[in-house]
Amino acid sequence: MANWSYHILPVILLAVSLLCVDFANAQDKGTIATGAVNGLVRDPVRNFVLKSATVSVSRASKGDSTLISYQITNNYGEFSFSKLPLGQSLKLQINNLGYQPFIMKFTISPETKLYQFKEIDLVEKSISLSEVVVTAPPIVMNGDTLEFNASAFKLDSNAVVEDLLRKIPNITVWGDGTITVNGREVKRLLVNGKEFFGGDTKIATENIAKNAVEKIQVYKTLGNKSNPLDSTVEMNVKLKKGMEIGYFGKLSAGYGSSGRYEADAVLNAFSPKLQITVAAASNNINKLVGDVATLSRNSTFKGVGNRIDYRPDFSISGITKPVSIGSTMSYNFIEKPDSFNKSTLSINFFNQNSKNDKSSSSETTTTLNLDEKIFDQKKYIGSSIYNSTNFDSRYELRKRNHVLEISQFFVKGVGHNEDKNEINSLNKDGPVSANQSNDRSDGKNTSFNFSVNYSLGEDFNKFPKKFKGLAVAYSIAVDNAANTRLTLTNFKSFIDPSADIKFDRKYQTDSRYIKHKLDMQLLNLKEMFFSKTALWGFNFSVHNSLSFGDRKSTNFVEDFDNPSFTYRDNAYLSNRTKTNMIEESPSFILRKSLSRDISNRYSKRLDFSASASQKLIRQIIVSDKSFQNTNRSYSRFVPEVNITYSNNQFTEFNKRYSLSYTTSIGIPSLEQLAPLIDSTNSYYIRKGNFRLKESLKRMLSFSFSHEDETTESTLNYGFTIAAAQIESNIVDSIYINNSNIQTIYPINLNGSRNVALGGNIRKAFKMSVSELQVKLASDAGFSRTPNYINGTFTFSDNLNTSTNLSLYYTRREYLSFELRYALSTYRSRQTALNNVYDGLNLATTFSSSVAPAKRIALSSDLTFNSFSSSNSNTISFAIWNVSLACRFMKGNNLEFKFSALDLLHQNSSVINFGSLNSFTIGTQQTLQQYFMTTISYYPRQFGKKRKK
Amino acid sequence: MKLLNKYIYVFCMVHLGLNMVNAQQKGIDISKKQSVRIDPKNTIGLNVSDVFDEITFIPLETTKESFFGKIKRLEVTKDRFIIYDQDTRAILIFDKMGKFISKINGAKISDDKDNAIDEFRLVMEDMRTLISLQSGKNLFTFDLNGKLVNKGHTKDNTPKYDYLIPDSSTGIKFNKKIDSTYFELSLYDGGGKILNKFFPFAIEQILNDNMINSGKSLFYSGRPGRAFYTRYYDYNIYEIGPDKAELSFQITLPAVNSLPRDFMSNPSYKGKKMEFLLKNTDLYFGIYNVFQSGNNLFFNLSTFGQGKRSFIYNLKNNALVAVSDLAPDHTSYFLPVTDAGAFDEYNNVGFSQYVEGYLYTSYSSLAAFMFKQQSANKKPQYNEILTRYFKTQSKKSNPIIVVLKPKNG
Repeated sequence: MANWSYHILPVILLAVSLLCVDFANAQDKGTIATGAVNGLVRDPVRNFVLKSATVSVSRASKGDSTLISYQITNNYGEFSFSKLPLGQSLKLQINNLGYQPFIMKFTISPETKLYQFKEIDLVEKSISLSEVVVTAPPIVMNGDTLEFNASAFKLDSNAVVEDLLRKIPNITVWGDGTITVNGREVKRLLVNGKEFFGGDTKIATENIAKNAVEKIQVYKTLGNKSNPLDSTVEMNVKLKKGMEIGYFGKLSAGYGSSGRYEADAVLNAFSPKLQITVAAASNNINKLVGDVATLSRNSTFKGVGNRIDYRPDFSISGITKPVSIGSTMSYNFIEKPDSFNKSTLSINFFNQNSKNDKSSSSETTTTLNLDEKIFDQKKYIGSSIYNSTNFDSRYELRKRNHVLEISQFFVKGVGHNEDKNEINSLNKDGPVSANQSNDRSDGKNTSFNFSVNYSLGEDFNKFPKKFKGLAVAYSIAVDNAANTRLTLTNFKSFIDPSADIKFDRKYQTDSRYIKHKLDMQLLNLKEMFFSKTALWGFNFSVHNSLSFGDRKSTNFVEDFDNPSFTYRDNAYLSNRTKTNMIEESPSFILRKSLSRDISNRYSKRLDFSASASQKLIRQIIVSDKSFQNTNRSYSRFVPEVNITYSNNQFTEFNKRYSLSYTTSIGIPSLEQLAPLIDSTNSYYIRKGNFRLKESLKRMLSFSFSHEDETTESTLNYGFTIAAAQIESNIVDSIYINNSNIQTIYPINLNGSRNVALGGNIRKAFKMSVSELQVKLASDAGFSRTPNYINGTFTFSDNLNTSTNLSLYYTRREYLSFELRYALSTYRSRQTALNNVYDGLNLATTFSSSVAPAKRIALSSDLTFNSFSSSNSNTISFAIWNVSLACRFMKGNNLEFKFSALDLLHQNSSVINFGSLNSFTIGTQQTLQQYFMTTISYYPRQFGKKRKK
Repeated sequence: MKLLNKYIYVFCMVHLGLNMVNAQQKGIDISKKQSVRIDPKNTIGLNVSDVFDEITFIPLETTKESFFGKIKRLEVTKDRFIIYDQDTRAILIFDKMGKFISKINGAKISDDKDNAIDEFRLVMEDMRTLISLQSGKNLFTFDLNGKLVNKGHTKDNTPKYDYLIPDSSTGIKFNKKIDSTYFELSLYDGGGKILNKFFPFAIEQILNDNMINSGKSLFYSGRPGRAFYTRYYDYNIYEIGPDKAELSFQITLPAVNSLPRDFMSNPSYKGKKMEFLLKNTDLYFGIYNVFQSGNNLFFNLSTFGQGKRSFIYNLKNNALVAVSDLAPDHTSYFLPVTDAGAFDEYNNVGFSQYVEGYLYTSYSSLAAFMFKQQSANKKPQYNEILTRYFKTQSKKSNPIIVVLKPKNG
């Protein structure tokens, strides 16, 4: 078991930290917020109260103008605040469209604990506005939109949008970038009404200067007509006039001990219609990235670079040295796009050259039967170079009820691999066999895909028509691959010397694959044939999916011929195959919706859909080897049923239940039917089985979610469960001989089952200057797979679980702590052999980030890792990373950072996993301790540069 | 957006073929017209007790059987409230104290569940007020206790009118073609004989155009046999009867709030009126819910904007009050008399009825409980009915009816 004392330490660290903060807080303020203030807002001239005026209370002491709380006056024109600090200078500001703002300083007496404004009279804004000194109100209610004026929030001149959002009561910025307003998640964050660099909120919130922002607008988009409260929250960052054009990014380079280096460059530029990013990165510290968006997300002005998706990975095998370059572009032909009028082109390009060196040593224990086990001791050294290029583009046109999407992607990969393996097999009596192999391979592959989707929906601006809509999608995929490989193998059996094998083999493989796919859907056809009210409320659609696939592959294999010192053709393995696959799937879909909406009370909705679909597949294989030739047809009925129920009790909650039943088939591949057996793979010989038939998977899944609609202390949670049964699953029948050579036959067996469970819960507690976020997510998967091992039927049962708990505490902008628990377990059991392997991995992380001074940030990341399994001793180690960053220049554009990684020098990346009838433990080459100094420059400009 | 949805809904409901040309109409008596100038931004506030002599709140009893959504249509008789609820597709009958009497379940009586009943009308038969409703080809008649009196085929019965002027047997149909000419209104007597027809129009001019209004256009004027009538994209209030049509009030709005003069005639607006109004949200594009009580003229103005919409204009002193600005006071137990400004029920419907000097409106229990919470600091002394209502009911209970008797001044 894991050494739990290790994992309690972070909890103690968190507790001590919070206590220190609490103490500091008490020292700092010396007061407890319990004061109240109330009042009534009126127009005295016209003699009515002002409903929906915005009222804000902020601190008014020197240098502190923090907004404490805000309200909208109620139906009686009244406001009432509580939990305000006593004995401190505060400012009340009231704004209402068309009226001059009301601003007044006040102090709540510690004796009375109440300040009553009684009646506040607002004066109508006169036409000669210039005579009035206009102070930007922090909050304005503009129709249904709540607007926060950026200029009313006093922040550091280098603050970004996220700092502004953190200043606004009732808005929570979560650790993962999610933003909630009164507990409700902001589903979309726009900048000037458009998605900003792909829509990742962090790119907007952590880059855009607060000084470039005019206001933050929060509004609701209505989902259910009968429920004014059923809506999704959106946020728009409205930039100041002239600030709609600008650039921002990061140029960074670091060098450290043991020759470690890293360099990143990201530059983003935007104008009202165009957004463009250019990025490049290179390192030898296992910081891996697959696209420009990840680089952009991790190069923000505010970001501290501690994100999980782009940081030195101490757990992966070997050292990887990627060099990446890429760019993205999006152009809005319509400056203010919406759901009914949009014309957008986006283009992405990414190239990565990656070198990887790795080595490992491990031992795999395989159970043969109740008494016998075989141990494989493996040593591996490998290196690879891979160059990949991705280019994709997408055009989207929306015009009223027409949607057209045209997209393409192109992927090219060129790689070189060298691997060296040594395996010694032992049983309880001693060595049984040994194998050495050397592989060298070069490969090139390209993939191209082009697709056009068009859909025509109902035009709600016109009178209803009988034809409700259609959707058509066509795609073509073209894949090419060419590989060469040289394998040297030397297998020695200590039990049966006649089984010794030695190979020196060359492979040349070329393949080309073309697939056309056409999907057509005619939606809600009932009214074409029947009256609106016929068929008991059921409607129906038809769907057809047709595809043609054509794969040609050529394998040319040569063996070194010792006597002649030349490579000669291997007539068995050299081969040409042609596979044609035609798939046709017509479906008839029946739908019915029942709803019960009771105004101002609830809205309940039940949606039912059932699809009857017949899957027809024709598989034709033509090969130089006649035993591979086949012409097979598969036909299966694959029904699908979906039921969704939602219960929205206004002002209370929205619960959603979803139940679905799906079926899918899996057909055997040529490699499973009739492979050409390559004996260079001495330990694993995969045989074919021409009698294999298709498998049928039936899956039942259920999900539940609860969204809180109360305005205070919201709690959201959900869970999912999915269970599947596979009839005639294609599984392995394994024969293992005394030399530990495994001969594997694919067979059809019933009895495969799996179950997956998942759940999550999230809650935030917001205090006056600090915030605690709690997140728990857990999932578990169980699978039962039938198989044969040396003729004995057995079920392999596997159970995997994963639980993540995160407590995240932030205090103003200068302090944050995070405690994370990540627990994963596995358990594997062979029923007939009665053997059980289990293991547990636990990682406890305590992260902290402190800004002791304005431009200094100290970060620490301490992770305790424990790996334990039933068959080995627990391995525990800690990884502690610390960094100190200092910002320079007027705009904080320059950063010096010193990082110490794996400070305790304990990283020993562990191999610990189980499979059907075996488990493997070992160690592999990993990234270890290094120190690095990094210099970063953040170029940024919002609006045109002013001429001096 | 809510507003937009409502208007699109209304637009669809008001189906093609409806209506008219805003040309000068012949045969309209303009001799008694009264000019009213109003600036919707220049309203004053009054207490509810300044406008109403009596304010009564009547919570409608909530039982499993009587539970319904909101009042889409309210008819008031001597001792009954008859309510049409679209959510449950039912007609509910309550007594004047709010006690539930009976329910006519539209889905149950209809042969066609999806096309159940759509509203109802009151008819007089043998000195009895009955509820008449149509479902498909069937015409049902129920008494005020919800008991089925008669079920017949629509052909066997008197023709269905779009509006029946209260206190009379005059029925009105919209947009009928009479002798090759379309008329916005045609009036009939109890036997179906045509009495008069007003506002002829050319159908071509309104075909394929956006004709948007905010609901009904005929309202009881308080004078027996006569009704107020308002038209599309027009600020006039007419009073019609079997004998004549009169222009009663000619309302003038500030230029910034007024439609272009050629809005109906200029072909550049054809088919683009909705788009134009959605872009120009300062504009008011029509009048609805007109009632007159003494010197007080109650009316609503249609707009896609955020401006005030419901007004009370005093014909004597020219004071303009926005209903949403009426301040609750002790006479209303510090509860607002409408939900204007907080919810949408009043804004979308306006006053439901004006019967024998009383105006009727309603709001949800969700609103009532919110208002109670907000006015707790005023320590209202609720009457027995409201005390019991707030004690035994919840925000999920049935709506409450508000009955208001306007002052005569």
